[in-house]
Amino acid sequence: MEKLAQILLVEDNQMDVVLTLDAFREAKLKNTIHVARNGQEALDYLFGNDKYANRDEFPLPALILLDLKMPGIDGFEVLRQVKGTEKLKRIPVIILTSSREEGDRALSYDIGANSYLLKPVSFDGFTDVVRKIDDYWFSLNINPPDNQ
Amino acid sequence: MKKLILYVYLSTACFWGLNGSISAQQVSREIAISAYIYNFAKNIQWQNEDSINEFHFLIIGQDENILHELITLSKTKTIRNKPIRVTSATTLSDINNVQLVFATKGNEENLVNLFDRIEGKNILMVSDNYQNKQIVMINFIDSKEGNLLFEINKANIINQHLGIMQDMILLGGTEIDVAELYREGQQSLRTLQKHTENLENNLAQLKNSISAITKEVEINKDSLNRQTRKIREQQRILDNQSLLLNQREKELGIKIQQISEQRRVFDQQSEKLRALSADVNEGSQLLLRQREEIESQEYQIKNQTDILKTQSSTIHRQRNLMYLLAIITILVVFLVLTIYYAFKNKQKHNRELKQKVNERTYELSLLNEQLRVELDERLLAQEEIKILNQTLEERVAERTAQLASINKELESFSYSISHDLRAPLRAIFGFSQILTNRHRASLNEEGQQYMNYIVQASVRMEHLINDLLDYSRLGRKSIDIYPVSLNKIIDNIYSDFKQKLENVGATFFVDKEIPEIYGNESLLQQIFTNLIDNAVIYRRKDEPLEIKINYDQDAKGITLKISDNGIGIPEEYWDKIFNIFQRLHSEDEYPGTGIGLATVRKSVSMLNGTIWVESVVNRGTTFFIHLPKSKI
Repeated sequence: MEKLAQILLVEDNQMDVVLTLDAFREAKLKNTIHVARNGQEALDYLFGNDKYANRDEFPLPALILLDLKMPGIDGFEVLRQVKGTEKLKRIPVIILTSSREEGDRALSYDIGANSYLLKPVSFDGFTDVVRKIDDYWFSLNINPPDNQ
Repeated sequence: MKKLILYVYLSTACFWGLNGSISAQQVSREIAISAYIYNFAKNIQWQNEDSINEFHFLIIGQDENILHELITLSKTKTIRNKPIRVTSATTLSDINNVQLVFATKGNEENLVNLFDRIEGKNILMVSDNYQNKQIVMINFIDSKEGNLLFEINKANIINQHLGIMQDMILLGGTEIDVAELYREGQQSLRTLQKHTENLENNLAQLKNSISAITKEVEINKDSLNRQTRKIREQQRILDNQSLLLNQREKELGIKIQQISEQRRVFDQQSEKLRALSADVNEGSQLLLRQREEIESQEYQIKNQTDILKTQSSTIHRQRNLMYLLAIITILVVFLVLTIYYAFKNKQKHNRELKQKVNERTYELSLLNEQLRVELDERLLAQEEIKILNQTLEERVAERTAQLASINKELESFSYSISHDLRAPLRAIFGFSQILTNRHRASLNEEGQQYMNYIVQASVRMEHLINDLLDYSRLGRKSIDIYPVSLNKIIDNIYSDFKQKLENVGATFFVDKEIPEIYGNESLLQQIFTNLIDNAVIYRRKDEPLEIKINYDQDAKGITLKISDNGIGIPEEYWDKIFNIFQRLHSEDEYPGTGIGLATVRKSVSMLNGTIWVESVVNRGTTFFIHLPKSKI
């Protein structure tokens, strides 16, 4: 396998970030994970603004893990901009949230989410989800060609 | 016609050719032609040669050069001591006293005409390059080598009663193909013969008709003579008659004179008569006027008689009317009297009535007053009711708004439960699990125990949150009710529970023919999931679990029965168990959140159904769910 796929994790809750990263470690996955702590940071990273201008250091991710509930620019807005931008719209976006609300699910898929996952409450559950993400998105699924 | 035939005969019979040639000349063509023409003339004998004083050459066509050459030649040459005169013309007008005609080149279309004109006139014709060999006499030919040659048609020459001397041959020239000409001649002869025969036939017919006509004419002549004679006799008679007529005319004249005299006398008499008749007219007019007057007087008398008659009849009628009037008057007086008495009676009666009416009116007014008071009271009451109604509506609207806002609050509350409570729980749960997994070794037994407690509490917390969410989500939005197959739903749930049921050694029985009902798939799923879950939780430890699902049916609807052989519920709790957070056992004994059955009852009521329970402690429990048959 060539260079490991890189992931952008968009999550405002510090503990959830630690748990997610820990789960990746627990699942023995070596993918580089870039973390954006809110919606604005996620957009800056994806559009290569300011400190993210260097694409060698901050390449476009092969996958985005996106939390919905964030202060300011929320997950929906980030998703809307990703799917509305020519060079970003093919990047698979997985919604990772604790909300099972019907409205959230409908809106997410309406504006182009590729998958919708519930954050497990237990760490074991988290590890399981992360392992399945890797299995599915980086082994089983055939990803779109690079947009560049 | 006969002449032409004769000519053709002769020409064909006497054709013989002259063969001759003229060697290349060193002179001009005109000079050569002139010389040739002179020589031809010398070798020809004309019939009237002795009587003429000069030889006349006529040139047809406009060839100034040849004319000039021939004139020049004629001045120095003679033919048998007689001078030669040369003239030219464009047409052949005067051919008397002409001995030789020279037709210059280019007049071929006139050649036949020319030949006809000279025919029989004892004239020699010389032509220049003409093609119709039948009618040429001597014809010049220009050879291909440029030599001037000539051909002689001896037959034609002889035909014109011209003599040809022996020297002519010495002049040279070619012989016309006699055989060819003979053939052509024969052919034209045959056609001519035919033509002639036709013409002769025609002639004979014409002759016949002429003789017939002549006969007729002679007959006509005879009758004409006879008629002439008759006419003469009649003329004689006419003459006699005219004589008589004259005598009569004279007599008539005399008579006319007598008549005019008589007319004068008559006129005078009629004048007199006219005067008389005028007098008679006047008299008769007078008579007429008198008669008219008499007639008008008679008419007036008649009118007056009529008037008198009508007046007398009117007088009669008036008398009758008088009688009638008298009777009517008597009747009227009687009637008036009767009415008067009746009126008197009625007045008395009226007075009594008025009194009664006044009494009644007073009573009525009293009653009216009472009614008015009552009505006022009623109106007031109605007003109050109206006001109350209005306030009630306002209050309902207020309440609805309050409820809506409460609903909204509840919504946001459940939302915050789902998200905001879950996040810290996830941290507690997640990290405690990490600690248990990775750092168990660094904790003593007590620490390990506490870690276990944290993990257990987290699991329970998660259940609580999920159940609360399920419960609060119910009724927040309207649901669709549609025909659903319960068997299908239960089958789905069974496959979810299969492992769990096998683990506890449970048996599961479902009536396979539950009829289709009106419901909502997700609500029914929630109901059965909770009930089956409860059956598993509250099973008896010493008895293998049995779960049975069947149904009863009546006109109103269907009653589903979910039975188990579990620990049972004491009767005093049969209602309470459907309240939220109502628990009969400690968490340690039987895990549970106390929300499940509340959720079930809420779901059933949303399907317009009812739920109740019957149970025997330590024997088992049956939940009854009644659902209406049709959509309400």
